Amino acid sequence: MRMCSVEKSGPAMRAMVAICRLLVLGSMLLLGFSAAAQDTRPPQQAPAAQATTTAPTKGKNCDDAVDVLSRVLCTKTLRVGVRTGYPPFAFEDAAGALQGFEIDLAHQLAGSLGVEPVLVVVTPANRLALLGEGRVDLVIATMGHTLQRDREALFVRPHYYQSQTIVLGRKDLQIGGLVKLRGNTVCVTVGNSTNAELSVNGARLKLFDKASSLVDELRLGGCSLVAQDDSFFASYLQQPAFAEAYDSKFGFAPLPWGVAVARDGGERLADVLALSMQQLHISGALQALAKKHGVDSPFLAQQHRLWSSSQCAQISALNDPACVTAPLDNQLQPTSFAPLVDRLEHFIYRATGTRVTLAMFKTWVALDLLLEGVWFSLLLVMGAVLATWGFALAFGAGLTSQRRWLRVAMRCVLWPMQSTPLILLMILAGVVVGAMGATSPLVALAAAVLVLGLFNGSNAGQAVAEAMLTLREERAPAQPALSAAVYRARAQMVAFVVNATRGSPAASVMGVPELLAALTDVASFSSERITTYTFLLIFYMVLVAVVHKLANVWQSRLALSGGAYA
Amino acid sequence: MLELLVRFLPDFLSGLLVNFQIAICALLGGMLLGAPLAAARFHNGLAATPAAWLVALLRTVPTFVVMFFMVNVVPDFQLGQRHFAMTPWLAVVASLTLYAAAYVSDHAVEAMRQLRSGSPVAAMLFVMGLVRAFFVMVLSSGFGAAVGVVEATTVTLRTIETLPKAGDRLLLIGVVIVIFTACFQLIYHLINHWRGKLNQRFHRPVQAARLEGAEQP
Repeated sequence: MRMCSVEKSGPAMRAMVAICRLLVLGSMLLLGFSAAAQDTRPPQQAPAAQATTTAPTKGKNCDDAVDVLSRVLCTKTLRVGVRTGYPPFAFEDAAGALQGFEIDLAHQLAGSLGVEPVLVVVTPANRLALLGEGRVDLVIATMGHTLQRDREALFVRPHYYQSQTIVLGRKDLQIGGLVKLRGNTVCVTVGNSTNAELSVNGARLKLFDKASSLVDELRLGGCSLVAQDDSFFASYLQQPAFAEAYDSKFGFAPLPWGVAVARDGGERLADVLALSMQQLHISGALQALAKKHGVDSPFLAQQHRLWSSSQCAQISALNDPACVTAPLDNQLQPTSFAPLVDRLEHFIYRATGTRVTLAMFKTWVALDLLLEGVWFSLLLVMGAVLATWGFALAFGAGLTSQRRWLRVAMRCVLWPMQSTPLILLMILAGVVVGAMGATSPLVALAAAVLVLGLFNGSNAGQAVAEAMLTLREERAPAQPALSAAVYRARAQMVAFVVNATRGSPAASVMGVPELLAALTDVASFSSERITTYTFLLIFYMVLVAVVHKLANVWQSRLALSGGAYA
Repeated sequence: MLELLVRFLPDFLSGLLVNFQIAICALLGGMLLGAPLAAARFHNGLAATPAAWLVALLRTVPTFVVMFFMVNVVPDFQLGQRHFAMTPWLAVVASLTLYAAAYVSDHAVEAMRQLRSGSPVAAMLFVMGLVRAFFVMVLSSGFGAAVGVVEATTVTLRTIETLPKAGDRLLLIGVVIVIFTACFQLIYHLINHWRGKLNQRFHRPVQAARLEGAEQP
């Protein structure tokens, strides 16, 4: 095993490698002595720990060591948790052997300790659990270093890589940046914390369970834009056909990746690995490794310059905030009543056996989205009902007008309304609003109300007009009032008013932040979909039922006073 | 634009085929679900009240939201020996099936009542109503664009996104609307024509209840 090695390195690099090896070995000795001095374990375990640093032997005593570094040196093996199926970072080659940037890094780190690496395949779901249970000594598994994960594992700093979320799409799409995403649909995977940033900037999110689904949808045309970690797309962008068709529009939310060790007993191993990592950055070995696997990034070049600088090239710099990258804080601020919501969830579970997760009440971002969504949905439904009513009267009057030009004009509007999918009309309205440069949600709301009103009102208006024509036939030569036609067509009026309510969530496609759009956003970053979408369904069903009830009340009152109209 | 249309139209038509497939499946599903409900309501037996409740519930179902609910919540399921995944396509079919079931149930009950009272025209108009409902569902299947079904609206949306100028976008949407309007108005006029013929044949009064009207789900 080679440590701090660089392919085709010159004499200067070889000297650097030699120094780096000496530094790591020296620090291991120092840490070994200090561990012996500070050992507070029961007397029967102390000899075993000493044996790990002096005369390592494999056996039961090695496994009993509380300190991970001692165990590693004792057994002369480093159990590294690595991923698979994530090229070019970690994947199986045709022969079934693990390959990739992280695999090579695991070999480098094991080499720096003078031990053999034992690769253990982990998944994003179990990597921290296996580390906590002591089934692996460290994890190098595409794991971003966040403040939240700091509670579960000890991250070695410097970091070995930095990813960012990229928005990727077809090359012919022009998307300038995060703020230009408003109104665009972006396909994302559920549970990605950066989804909150996308939704806050007005992107409409379409959710998928697996990152691979994003690529499938991109190819099938179901998604025009997808957002995911750039490391995921690294292997795809290495494929000429993919790179020819798609490109990264922009990146955001940088996330440093760290080697993680167990919080309990992993401190000394973390210290030694930190030194190794520092030397890998200084020597450029890490950058060379990244280049070899096609994942070189500006981050690694910047880290190489940083750790080579006089300030950061010292051992003491490993704790210097000016040198080490801070972990990402992706924790959304919880609401003041989040503990109460937790208790309510427990209560529901105990009472019914059903697990309910009320994610929309647990963080301020989610709650704001929820309240805004409810408010916009109510406004939308009220507007749609009134607009349907108004357009029904207008079309009823226009289609039976004595003026021929007005009748023709009304038919010219009516026919497309009866023959075009509502969603296409919404998209048309969205394009018109966008062309006018209006991006406010209230403008989108007004446009959606107009579309819903026109779509349903024109159909209801046709019913009113037909009623008017039959009334004229029956009462000729008298001219019946429009109210009499409305009375006769009241059932259709109610049907289309209810229809407007049912169709109102479609306004989400043109950027109206109503409840469907709001809760989709909440689900995208909270990872919770069952309760969220059930809540949404119940909300809209109740809303439709209420509008139905009110419309029926109106219809009954109209029937009671029917004599006046008829 | 002409060059774009040459590339766009074949994709659009194949997308429209998907809309028709969805509508056919949804209507068949709606008939399978709606017919027993209608029978239960018509015969006024023990099942009449629960059937009426179920139909009332189905009427309140917002298709667009149900579609999202199914895509995001309903897990994969087993039907006999076959395994089904809740794909966006299936979600659109299922959500439209609920609408179709309520429609079929409501109108079949009315048709059966008319048939019992000796008016065969109402029963025949029920069939015409189904045809109209079918085309309404073809249009409503455009909702699938929001969950990733590649149908006519999705194809249109995908092409629009490649056009940098708002004018070109509006022009393309205009062309699509004209295509839809020409096709569907022709179909509606044919339906109305047949309806008129039926009315004449059975001497049905002009102002009789119009059962065949179908609003969008």
